Amino acid sequence: MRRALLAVALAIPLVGCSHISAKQKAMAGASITATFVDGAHHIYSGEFNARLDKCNPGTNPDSAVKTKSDMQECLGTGFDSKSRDTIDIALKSYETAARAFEVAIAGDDDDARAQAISDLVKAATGLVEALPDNKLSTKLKALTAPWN
Amino acid sequence: MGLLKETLIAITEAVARRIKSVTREKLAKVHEEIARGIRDGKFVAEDAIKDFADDSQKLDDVLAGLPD
Repeated sequence: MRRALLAVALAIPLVGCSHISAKQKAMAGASITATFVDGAHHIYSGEFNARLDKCNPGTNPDSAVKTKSDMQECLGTGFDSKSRDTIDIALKSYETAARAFEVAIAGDDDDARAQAISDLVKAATGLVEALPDNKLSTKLKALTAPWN
Repeated sequence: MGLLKETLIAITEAVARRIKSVTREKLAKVHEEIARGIRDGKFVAEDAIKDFADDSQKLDDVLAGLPD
């Protein structure tokens, strides 16, 4: 995470630098999205596990959960099974885009590379937006505007 | 005056070469970090999917023990 943050801190100012190639700028964009996805996922997972422990009568004797629906309600929007299904789809879309970008960045087709980074940014933004905390998605959109 | 001018030019050129050298070093480091970021993107996705699946399994296990 620390290494990724360093990459972001170094990458952002160089986006406007004229002697950085389009390929390197695309890689900088990918680095930024990876950092956000990594951070956002860890924050979400931590919150989910905290809620699960609190709601689970097996781990919390004071939990009022008695049924499956009680559990979903206790977890709340963003963390219940329905929300997680949506996040799961967004995660897999991001993985697909990351793999496609890895292929495109290795090639010499500028158009394919530009499309791949745009798709990657879109998938990363979609994933972060699917998570309950919206502050990160706003920040990610602002930082990745050059690649949209 | 000619010697002074030549000296100033030599110093300026030496400073410019040093700046270019430092910039190249910094750029090389940036390139390396960005290249890692590109690999990290795929690994971030893979790790996140695995962790997410593990968390989902925990939830499924708890739900399995609860009545409808």
